[in-house]
Amino acid sequence: MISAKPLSPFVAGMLVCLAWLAWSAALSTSQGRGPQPEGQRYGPTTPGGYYVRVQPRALTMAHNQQPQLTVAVEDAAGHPVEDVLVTFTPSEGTFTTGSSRTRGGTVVGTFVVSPGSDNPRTAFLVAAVENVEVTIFIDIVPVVFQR
Amino acid sequence: MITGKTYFIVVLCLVCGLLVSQAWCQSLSLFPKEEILLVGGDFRIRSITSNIAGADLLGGGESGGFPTQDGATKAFFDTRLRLYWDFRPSDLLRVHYRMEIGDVRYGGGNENGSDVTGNLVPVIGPGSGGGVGADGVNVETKNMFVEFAMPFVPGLSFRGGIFGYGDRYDFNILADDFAGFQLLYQRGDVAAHFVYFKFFEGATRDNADDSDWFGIDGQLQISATTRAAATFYYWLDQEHKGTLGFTPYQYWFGGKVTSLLASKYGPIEINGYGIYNHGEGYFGRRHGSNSGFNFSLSGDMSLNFGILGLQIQYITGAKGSKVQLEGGSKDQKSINSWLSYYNNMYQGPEIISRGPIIDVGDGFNSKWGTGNGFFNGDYNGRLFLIARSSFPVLSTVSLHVVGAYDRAAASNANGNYNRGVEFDVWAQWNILPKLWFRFGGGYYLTGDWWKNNTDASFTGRGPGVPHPDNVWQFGTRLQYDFG
Repeated sequence: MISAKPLSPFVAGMLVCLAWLAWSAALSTSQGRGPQPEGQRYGPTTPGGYYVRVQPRALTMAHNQQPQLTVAVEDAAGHPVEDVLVTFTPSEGTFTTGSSRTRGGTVVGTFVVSPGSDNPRTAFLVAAVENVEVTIFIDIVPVVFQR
Repeated sequence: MITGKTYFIVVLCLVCGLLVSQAWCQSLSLFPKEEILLVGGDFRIRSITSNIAGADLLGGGESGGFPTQDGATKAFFDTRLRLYWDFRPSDLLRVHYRMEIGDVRYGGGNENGSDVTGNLVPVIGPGSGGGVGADGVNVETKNMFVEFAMPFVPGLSFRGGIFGYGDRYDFNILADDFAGFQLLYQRGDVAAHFVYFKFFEGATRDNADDSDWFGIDGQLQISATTRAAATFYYWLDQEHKGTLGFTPYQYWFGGKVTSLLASKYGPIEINGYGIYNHGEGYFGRRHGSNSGFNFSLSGDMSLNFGILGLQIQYITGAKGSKVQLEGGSKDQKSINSWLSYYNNMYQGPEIISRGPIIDVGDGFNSKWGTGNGFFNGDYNGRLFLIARSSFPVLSTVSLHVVGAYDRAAASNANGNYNRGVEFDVWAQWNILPKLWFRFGGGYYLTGDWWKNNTDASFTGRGPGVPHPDNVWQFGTRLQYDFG
């Protein structure tokens, strides 16, 4: 016969703490890997035959924030491709990058909206690799909404 | 067996260990105060001059918003300072506080005015409570919440406290000081959130309410240039239970598609949405149910000399006057009217909608629908056509021109449909980085719908005027954003 014995508060507390530690360690490990673009990939491009991913694909921001976006270029097998030109066309504001060509398979840039309005609106940024264009929709909301 | 004292020490050690391990895991020192505090805000001075009917106590907390006959000019300006503090010990956690000083208001052609949410405030000075130069009674907490990444589910975060919310259609704007919580998920091509608010709780305002608001929203990037979204909102309006014998409710569900199309002239941003709204006992004013649709389609083309855009919006409505539709023999009947909050058109007209010039509900759209507001076309619905444009005339100056045709979807009690035509011109001057000035005006040619219309009065039941004025409004806004 198996008798049900309740966990003591001490053991229960230990379990909770261990779970918390495990989560923290997992997060720390994942943070150390840097941005890992995920989601749908677009392509292949012509003539290079590359595939393109964008991270994040959905972006909501206040007008005074300056979010980073990453474009990753990879081959058919998913390996990063170096020195591929990526161009960006924002509907408003600016998008600045350290390099317009991929380093480590990615180009990372910062988006800054046009000055002068916190009116809610949707801006877009078109990232182009050869003949493939990917649109990133950027929802700009008033700071107090914080959506 | 562990004694109580030993147990206490073990737990204390564990807690300390957890704190240290958390900081270690996130590569942070324990108390880097100077590194985690972000400060920002904005300051603005704004002026409005208009012949739109001003606020009146009979309006039930509204800021006017309809043509009168030989109406007086009202003019005022106000100032507001918003400050925020953002405590971010890591990318996974933040505590946010935002406060507002003002709006402190000066001038005005009427005894009373209203703030942006329609609450009546004395015109001279006090803003939301305090006099000019008085101690800090015109200070308000706008946001106060904690947000952190949830464990075990990457991309999931939690936000709880006091914060604002605006939907993707710009109809349900629950800004900006309601208590609630929100679960947000964002990963890959998917973004979604669930939100709950307890708002209007307590008797802090004349029009204090007691309601629960639930919302769920999700979007998916369905191709390289298109995304689709779906939304459901449910509003339980306990405060207006009153004599109805049941709790009024409203729900909305809708979908929206946003796409960027390529053309030989330039990219075209397409936005289309449809929303269905259903409820019963709306604001305690009707026993019967209401159901309505709201459709909108717009396209804005970016050309090398500017942006040109068109939009059409149709909101279903019911024939007749408010008195007919809210009471009498039709009390229990269902009506085909869209009932909701604001109709914001931040790229559109200023007077008909909540436009960009002064960015405040001081036109027809300034109401919440409990009174005589003409937001969304009111019970008669709306057919709305907008043409808009934007031109960069200098590197720091842009010019915006808008035209709009406003027509009721169903006739008023007099059989009239035509509300009017509006023209707007405004300019934006970016004086310095983060310091900008916006100025412009709108003119509205009133149509027959307003003549002898009982809805067009403070009470929503008055006789109306036979020859309503054309409506005009001029506004300026100087603002500095910092942080």
